[in-house]
Formats: sequence, structure tokens, C-alpha cells
Amino acid sequence: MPSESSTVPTAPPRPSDQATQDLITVSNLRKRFGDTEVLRGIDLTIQRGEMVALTGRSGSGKSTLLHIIGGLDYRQGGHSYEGKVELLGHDIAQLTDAALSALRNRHIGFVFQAFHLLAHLSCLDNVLLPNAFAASPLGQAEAEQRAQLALERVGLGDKRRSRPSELSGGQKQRVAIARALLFRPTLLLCDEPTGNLDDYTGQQIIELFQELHRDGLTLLLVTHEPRVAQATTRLVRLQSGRIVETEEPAP
Amino acid sequence: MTIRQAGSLLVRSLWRAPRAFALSVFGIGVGISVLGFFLALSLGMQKRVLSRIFPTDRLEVVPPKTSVDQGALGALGSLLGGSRQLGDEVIATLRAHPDVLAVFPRMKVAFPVRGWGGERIVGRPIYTDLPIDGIDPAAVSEATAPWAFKDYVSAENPFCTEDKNCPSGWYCSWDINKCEPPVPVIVSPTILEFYNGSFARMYGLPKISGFLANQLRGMTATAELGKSFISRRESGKPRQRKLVLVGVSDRAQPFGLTVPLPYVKRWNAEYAGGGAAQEYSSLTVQVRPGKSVTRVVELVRKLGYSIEDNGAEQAGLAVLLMTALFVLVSLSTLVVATLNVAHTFFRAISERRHELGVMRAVGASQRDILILLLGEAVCIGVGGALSGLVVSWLAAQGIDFLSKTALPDFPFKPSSYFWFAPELVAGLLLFSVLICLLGALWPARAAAKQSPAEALTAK
Ligand SMILES: Nc1ncnc2c1ncn2[C@@H]1O[C@H](COP(=O)(O)OP(=O)(O)OP(=O)(O)O)[C@@H](O)[C@H]1O
Ligand SMILES: [Mg+2]
Repeated sequence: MPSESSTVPTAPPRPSDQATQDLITVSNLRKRFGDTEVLRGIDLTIQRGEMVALTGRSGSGKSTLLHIIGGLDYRQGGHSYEGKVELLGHDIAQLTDAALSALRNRHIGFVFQAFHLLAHLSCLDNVLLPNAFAASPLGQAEAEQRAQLALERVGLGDKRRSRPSELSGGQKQRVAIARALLFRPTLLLCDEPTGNLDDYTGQQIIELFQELHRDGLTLLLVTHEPRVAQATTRLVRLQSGRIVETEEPAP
Repeated sequence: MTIRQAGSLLVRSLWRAPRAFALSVFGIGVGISVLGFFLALSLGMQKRVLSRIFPTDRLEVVPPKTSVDQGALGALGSLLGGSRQLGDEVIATLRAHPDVLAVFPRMKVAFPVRGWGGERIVGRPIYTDLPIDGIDPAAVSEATAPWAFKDYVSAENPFCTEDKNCPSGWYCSWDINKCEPPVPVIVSPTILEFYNGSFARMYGLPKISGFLANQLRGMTATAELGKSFISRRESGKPRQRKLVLVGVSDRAQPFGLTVPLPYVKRWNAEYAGGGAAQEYSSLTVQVRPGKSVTRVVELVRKLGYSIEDNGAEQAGLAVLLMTALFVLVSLSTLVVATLNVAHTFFRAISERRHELGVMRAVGASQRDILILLLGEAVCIGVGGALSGLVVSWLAAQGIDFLSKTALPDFPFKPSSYFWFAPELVAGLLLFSVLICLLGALWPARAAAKQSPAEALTAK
């Protein structure tokens, strides 16, 4: 996947050291909600080109970890975790809200279990949404062309005018993936992307992820499903707020 | 986020819930329409009614009315040298003031005058005592016809014994054996307003409208100096003069006839003694455009004279109080509307937490979220102001129409009671937007500040 940074002046610069392939570096990450400490010292490194599955029991903190890595656990007062999270070479705690938002906009795609499409926008406009918040948005024609390509990539080239309410669950998730792919991100963060889908549809999504991975995209997938885990290059298990196992699945 | 992108998102965001949007717009619109209605009414009353009755760019200086008015020095002065007179030095002093454009002396006729005439409108002559005053002819700038408003009496007037000896339109004043044209008279618009508004209706007489050019101008009457229908008092040898109406001017006294000052000076000297011909009854002081009368009033008070109270202050105050009352009423409507906007935003934002979370996830900054939400508030403000203004304007049109068709004429009845000044329209628009922003600011800030993760996982 070609680098976007040459065409995106306002995006944070890539790490100067191209030799380091670390896309995500989490060190001694702790996070508490009130009195309960959900993450108790996480150390995790994900390299460029990996496809990592994050598993664990319900309530083990998978979504929490994913949100922190994606820079979403942030409010006016600052980040509410302890430890250090580096994303594409940036300590996310050091970035301003604008810079972190620009980083998400250009380099990170999110896919959620609940799809989170905007009901009042057409599929095409949903896919175009990241362009609305780009520091230097693409022209309308170019953006639409890209969105159309993204929709075709997920097999929904003919649904551009449809409303999300007119789509099946699998189709909705594919529109959400197309939205995440609009700016050809470096990293795709998915929180149980197949959780609301039947086996067949889920399988299609998994194959789509594998295809994207082959094209060079780095993926971190939170999942319950063994078959999703099996499709990845590495498995990370979360238990009691710690990473208890990280293994390369058998080839 | 560019304006284009924000605008496009905004429009679709508002369009998805047209009813909620319309309801917020309606709330603001009601308040703005009430506010706009009463402010336009107040402005209209000031502009179209009060300013016609009470000109604000001039004042009438009169001799001190009470010793209190003059202060200690003035009182002493009046003890020593009699009452202060309005003479030529006062005029010179006032004219020297930088805010003063012109000073026109006026003098009342200080003896009885009676007259008859008016066949042309009433059908038969009216007999009445005539209140006459004179004003410096320079004060009258309005066009007059068929005679100029000036003194026609001089030593060069031809000798005569009968009207036949005189040029056409002139007559022979037999007491001095001189030809002269009738004394030019002006009347005030007030007199005509009152004639049209009440007198004409009371007596079933025709209204005077578009009047002077054809009907009244040139109408003549006869005045008999030194005689009265009411009182037996007589002074000097009675003599008759012809009068001719030459124009309408608000420089004329409100109820009575006004002639060029030299006539009154001569008549007063003859019928009321020399002193009466020296002393002006009042001075009309015209201030320069854009200047206020206040500094001139100060000077007049310092000189020991009084200002004729024409009721303008009280009338203005009454209108102001009424306006203040209605503005308070409409402001309370707007407070409710603002709270409604705040409520709508709080609700919308909690309903839209996922949506806002998604926007943050795909790259919206806190600022972007704030801009989007406040942009919606601005749309509500503009929509509310425009609909409110349209409604208040329509209501104003309705009332003006009713007044025109259903209300009888009354003095100073205006064709419209309202004035939607451009400043008023712009001000209301701005105000409406501001209160919507005010209502939306808190919820929008809260929404922008929330953590995207929490927004996305909210139930
Ligand atoms: N906003 C919050 N306030 C308080 N507690 C929270 C909040 N979000 C998550 N938690 C708690 O943190 C723990 C981890 O939650 P998280 O959603 O990360 O789990 P998960 O591993 O994603 O579970 P699941 O597989 O069911 O999605 C849970 O015990 C949850 O109750
Ligand atoms: Mg979860």
C-alpha cells in the first residue's frame, strides 16, 4: 500500500526511522474505570504488515484497549490512562486533539460490531464521511470516485445511493469497511467486525480482511470467533487486564 | 473541515429531522415576531406620528414663566428691572451658539381681532375671533401661492381711494389710502389634521385632502383689527384687512393663523402700545442637522428663559414605557425559546452520541464537532428570525389595513404604524442567532468534549 503522506501535508510525519517497523507500541498500559482496574500493565507491539487477533473473555478489556490504541479514549482533560501508547511513532498523549484527529483521519480505519453508519446519509456519503473532516479534503469528484472504488472493493458498487436501513447486516459492515478504507489507511482497528453477522457473511468479511492484509494493510481484530483468530498471523489473549499469551498460529 | 463540507453535513443533518428543526425554529420565531412587532410599532410611532406632532430638531423659547424658573439671579433681575423680555440681544446670543442653525422670532397679536370667511369650504362664512401671530418670513421655506409669504406694505405702495385704483388682486386699505395685496397667511398641518380628523366629521364637512394646490390656496377672509365677537374690549380705531391663505407650514402656530412678522409689529405698535411691538412672544430655535437640542436648552436656561413644553418628552416617555413593557414580554418568550433550543440540543446530542462518536473516529476534531453543532444553532437562529420577521411584518400589514379600512380618521392618523428599519431587521437577525448560539453552546461543548470511546459505546 503506497504511503499517503506525500499528498497529505497536514498529517503527522511518519516516524523518521523507517527501519523500525513498529506501528503500535504499548508499554505498561494501565486503565481504570472508577475503582476497577481494567487494564493492568499491557505491553504490546504490532509491526507493519501484521494481522493480529485480540481475544479474551467478555469484559476482559479488549474494546477498551482498542479504543486507547486508536486514540479514541480521549477527552478535553487528556487521555485517561497510565503508561505509554505510540502510534506510527507518535506518543498519542503528546498530540493535540487536532493532530490526533488528523492522524485518525488519514492513517487509521475503524470497524465496529454495530457498524455505526449514519442513517441519514446514503452509502456513498457514509463512505465519504472521513473526507468531510480531512484537513485538505479531496475535491468532490475525486472523493466520490474513490468512495465508489472503495464500495466496489467490498462488493457494493451498486449500492451507492442506498440508505443503510435498506441494507443487510453484512452489507452494512462492508459499507463501514469501505468508509474505513477511503483514505487507504495504514492501520485497520476492528472491534468484533463479524459479531453481528451469520457464518457465511462473516466468512466473506474475513476473506476481505485477508485480501486487505495481503495488500499490505496492518489489522488489529478484536474477536471471539476462533475462525477469525485462525485467519490472522498472530493471536493475543487478554485475561484479567494482562496479556497472558501471544502466539503465532500454526501455519 | 471546510465551510463547504460543514455546510453539506449541516443541511443533511437538519433535513433528517425536519419536524424537530421546524419546532425549534417555531419557538424562536414566535419570540422574534413578538419582539419585532412591538419594536417596529415603537419605531413607527416615533417616526410617523410623534415626530410629526413634536419636531425634535427645534425648540420654542418663551419668557420665564415663574421666578423659580429663572433661578436666584433671574428672580433678582426681575425684581430690579421687571420681567425679562425676548428681545434682539437674546436672538443674537442664541444665533451665536454653534449648534443653532437659525432663530426665528414670533410675536402674537396683542389685541382682539375678529374675522369672517371660509365660504369656499363650508358654503357660508364662518364668524370667529382670530388668534394671529407673526413669524419672521425667513422661517418659512415651503412654497407659497398665490402670494409670497412676506411683508407687502411699504412707502411705495400706490395711493388709492377705491379698490379700482389698485393692481389686480390688490385692494385699497381705505384707512391709509394705500393699495396692498391681502395679508399672506400660513396655517399649520396640525390644524388641518384636526379639521380632517374631528371637525369635518363632526359637522359633516368635506375633508381637505391633497388640498392646498387647488382648494384652499388663495382662499380669502376678512379680519377686523381691534374688535372681538367675544369680548367688548376695543382698542384703537377698528380697521379691516384682507387675508389670503398662501400655504401650509409647520412653522405656523398649531391653532391659529400666522402672518409675516412685520404686520404684527406694526399692528401691535398701533393697538397695544410701543412696548408690545418690541417684545417677542417666543423664539423658534432650529438646531443644526444631527445636533441635539440639549446644549441649546442649557444656554436658554442660563440666560433665564424658559422652553415651551410641547409634551414631546412625556409622549416620548409614554411610548418608551409601552415599548419597554412589550419588549419585556417578548424577551421572556425568547428566554423560553432559548431554553427550548438548549433542551432540543441536549436531547439531540444524547440521541446522536453514536453519530458524533463515529465522526470523531473518522477524524473529526472537537472543534469540528463544535462547529457542526453551533452551525445547526445558527441555522435555527436565522430560520427563526426570518420566519418571525415575516410573521410580524404580515401582522403589521394586517393592522395597517384594518386601520385604513375600519378606523375613522383621527388627527395624525398615519398610513402605517410600523417601521421595520433596516437596523431593526439586522439587529433581530443577529439577536436571534446569538440566543440560539447561547442555548446551544453548553450542550455543544459538552458533546465536543466527551470521549469518542464513551460516545461509541453509549447505550
Ligand atoms: N465507560 C465505562 N465505565 C465504566 N466501566 C466500563 C466502561 N467501559 C467499559 N467498562 C468496563 O471495563 C471492562 C472492560 O470492558 P470492555 O468493553 O473493554 O470489554 P470487552 O473485552 O470489549 O468485552 P466484550 O467482549 O463483551 O465486548 C468491563 O468490565 C466494563 O464493564
Ligand atoms: Mg468489546
